[in-house]
Amino acid sequence: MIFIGIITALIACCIDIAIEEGSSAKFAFLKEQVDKCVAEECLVYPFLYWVLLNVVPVVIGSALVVYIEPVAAGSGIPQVKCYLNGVKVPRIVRIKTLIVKAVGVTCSVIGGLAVGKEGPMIHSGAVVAAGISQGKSTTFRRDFNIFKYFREDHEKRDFVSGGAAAGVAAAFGAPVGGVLFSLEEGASFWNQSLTWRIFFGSMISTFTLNVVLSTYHGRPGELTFAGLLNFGKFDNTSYDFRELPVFIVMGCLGGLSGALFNYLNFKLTVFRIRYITKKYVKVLETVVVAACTATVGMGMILYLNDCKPLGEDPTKYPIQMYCADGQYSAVGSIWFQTPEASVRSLFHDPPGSHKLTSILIFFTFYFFLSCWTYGLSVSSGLFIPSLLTGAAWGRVVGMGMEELFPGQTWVDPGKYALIGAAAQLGGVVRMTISLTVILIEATGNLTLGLPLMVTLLTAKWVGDYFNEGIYDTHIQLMGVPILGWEPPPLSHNIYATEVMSCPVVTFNSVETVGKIADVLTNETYNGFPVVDPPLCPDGRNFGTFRGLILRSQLIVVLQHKLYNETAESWSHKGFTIKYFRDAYPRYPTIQQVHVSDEERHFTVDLRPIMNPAPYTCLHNASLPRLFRLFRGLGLRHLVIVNDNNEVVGMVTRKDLARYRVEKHMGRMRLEELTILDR
Amino acid sequence: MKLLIPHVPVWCIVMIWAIPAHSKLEDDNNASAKPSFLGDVAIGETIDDIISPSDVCKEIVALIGSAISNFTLCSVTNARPIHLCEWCVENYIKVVEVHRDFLAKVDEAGNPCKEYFLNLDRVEIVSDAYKYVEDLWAKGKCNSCFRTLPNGTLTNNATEEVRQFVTDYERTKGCFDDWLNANITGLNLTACDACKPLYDQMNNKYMEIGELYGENVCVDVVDTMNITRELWSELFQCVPERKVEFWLHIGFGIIAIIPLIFYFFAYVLSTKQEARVLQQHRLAEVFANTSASGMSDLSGYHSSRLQESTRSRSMPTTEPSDNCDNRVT
Repeated sequence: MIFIGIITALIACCIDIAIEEGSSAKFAFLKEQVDKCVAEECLVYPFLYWVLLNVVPVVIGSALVVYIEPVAAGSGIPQVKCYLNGVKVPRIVRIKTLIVKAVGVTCSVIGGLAVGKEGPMIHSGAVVAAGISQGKSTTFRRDFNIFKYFREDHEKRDFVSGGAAAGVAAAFGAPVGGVLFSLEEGASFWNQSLTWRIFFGSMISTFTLNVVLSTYHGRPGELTFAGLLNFGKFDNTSYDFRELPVFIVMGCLGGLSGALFNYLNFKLTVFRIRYITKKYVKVLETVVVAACTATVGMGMILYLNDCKPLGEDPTKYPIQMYCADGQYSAVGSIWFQTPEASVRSLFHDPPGSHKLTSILIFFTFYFFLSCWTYGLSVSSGLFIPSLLTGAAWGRVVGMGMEELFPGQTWVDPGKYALIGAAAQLGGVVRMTISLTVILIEATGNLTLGLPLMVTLLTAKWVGDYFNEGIYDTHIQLMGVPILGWEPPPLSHNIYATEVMSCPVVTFNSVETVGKIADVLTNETYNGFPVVDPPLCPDGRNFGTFRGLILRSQLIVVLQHKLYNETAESWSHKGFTIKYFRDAYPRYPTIQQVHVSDEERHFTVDLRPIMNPAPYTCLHNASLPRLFRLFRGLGLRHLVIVNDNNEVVGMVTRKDLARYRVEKHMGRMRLEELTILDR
Repeated sequence: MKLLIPHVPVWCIVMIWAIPAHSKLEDDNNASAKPSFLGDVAIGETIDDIISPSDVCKEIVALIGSAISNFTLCSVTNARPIHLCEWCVENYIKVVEVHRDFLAKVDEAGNPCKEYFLNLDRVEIVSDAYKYVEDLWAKGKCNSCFRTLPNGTLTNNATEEVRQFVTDYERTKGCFDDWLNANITGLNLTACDACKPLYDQMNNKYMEIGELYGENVCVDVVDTMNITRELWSELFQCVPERKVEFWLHIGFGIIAIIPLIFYFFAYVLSTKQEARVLQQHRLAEVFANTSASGMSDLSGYHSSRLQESTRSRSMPTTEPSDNCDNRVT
């Protein structure tokens, strides 16, 4: 865990510093160009430079994702969530994914897209954890021969949840938030000792991050340096009793705009799945978005005349544009920053730093830009854009409050920006506890805990009335058979007999190699019951149940040629679990295993390999019961038997995930989905 | 009188605490010197003599007071337009010097004067007053305007850059003044052009100073520049004028249209992804087959309810679904 924490934090630092340096160089150059061109009527050149500087990094990032590792697209949180739920998502925890993710997110943030680096950092943490716990890398063909006991799904999953927590800790400097994130969003299986280990890992991660970043900021060893807090420290955090209703209203607004965001993004993603399928088209789409982002920024700077005097608040690249000398364009300062820095300045700029209209226009454009951007084929986080959008409208609310209650000490637009940001993010991702804690930790104040919680709860309730959280929406669109916490309601009258697959493909205890090879080639199933053949086959009963064998185990058997007839060549070594651990997690496919004609007549004794006592269920069990079994135990196959312990069917996750309750506008209905072959 | 009573114990405690320190000091310094202040009492001394500082110390404290008041007077009168550093530097240096003397001063009895004034009560008048001066000076970042001697003492000589800046300012101001008078004749439209070289020179000098000192440019310079800029842009309206930027708008237009074209072609040209539905095998199918062949013993499988529910709930279709949210792979 300590290594997971350290390495995750180091990766986060690299991403951080690369983004910082890249963006500084870019904006410094652009500022110079703009300043030069305001007088000379050549603003089209800085504009073109801006477009170019957006497009080039984005193309790199996007091409990496599209051509090398498509699973690295997006924030990675939905994928990690699926993984932790017990679904095997291919290639999600490969080191290649990690590299593409890290480089990709750096490129897309430098490219000025409306994205953040947090989601990818969480994914990176998960990959690091999965990689380290295995002690080997298949990509590099290295096996360090350590941690062999962790080479199975269950252990790996525990580590991945720890890695995700470390990722959050590194992204927001929020160790407790990381643990809670892991608990709320990720882990489906949880136990006490795991909590403590994960917390330790997150702490180490935050600590490492602080050590490195404090050195980077020129204050080595100063671990309490306020610049390390992601969203800066709030000086004035007092709030008044009268404000709570305002926070609730803001929560509602956040829920509404989050629901709208999810709806638009859902429609857009569906369009993308259907029509934007070719790889080069995907890259082209990101180029279009990047160019438009630059255009929106330049347009706003050009048309909005929002000038503020220099020097009152720290602006790294103030651009003057058409402002008078000694003033700078407030809009320009928002755009000439990374989104994260913009969030910070919206939180902390003194009252009156921005004009109402410019903030409103910024909000509108940024809302649609971030909605457009999420789901592109780039590594991109959703947290920061949502926070930025929310901070913008929150600040508008703050300005309104200033008008309503002039001269009150508790009215601070920065505070409302924070609440607005929380509401927006809560409305989009529908997290409550972990988001509250993350925001508390990232701003370093506990005082606003209650307002944040109230806001997030309202946002979640209001949003849930319309649709699901964006991560869940994307999980559904990916078509992953994820199982929720609770079985779908209205399903208690569905029984195992309706859910299960039937007829069942079974193996006998001693089976011929030929049949095994044929079945593995022709069927896509992953688990096969091992049975004693029935005396009178009637098509409904497939024999007395003896055990369950997995496709991967059969493949290992075929690969190592552990046949009865060739026993003399391997029996002295015996079956060892080593064969199976060595192959984990990438088993060859059946096509890669060569079975000669002669071998087809050989037989394999499946009894020593199979799981002799897997979970089974009677045929008259109800769907909620099956569901709880799957969910609680993380099953992938469940054999359905009849009263005589004879196999009658098989249930897999997909059979259960087909039943989904749709909640919309307060109505609820149970849907049965079809399953696609992809 | 009533008010004084609570103070008495405080005094006593402080005195008692102070005694050993003093006597020790004298032992070290000067054996012949008389012990001070609450030490040995000389004949004919009154209580007033004992508790009040000696005349030498009173004098130096009075000096501090007048120096501070001079500085305060100077700072307040020069508050707007702010010339704190430039015109009060001598007062400030005086305060620092007197204060230094005060710290070093020893009265006839050999007691350091500071013993009478520092660390005795919670008001700390002398040190607070001095601290106020120091704080004001530091807040104005005035030190950066003046040269310091190698030993760190501040002089009242402005640094070379600041002098040049002030000269530039005077010239710019002169130019402004000329055009302000010309304002009457309605010619100030050209003030921008006429004074631009001077103004730019001043601006550049300011940037230069800014680069040298970063955040620590002294307040006089910053304020002078701000005022000049304000005059420049507010009074004389010398704001960069908006250009037409024809090509920029063309660029905006092109890039705004690109997404529309892109999505249109994506919609038209790409082939729609058809969803392949996986045929799943269900018990109901087995029944459909087996019951046709005459097997009807379904009692073990909730047959009636099963068939009923199969009818009411549509089984997975084999047709491609074009409803994307209805897919699970």
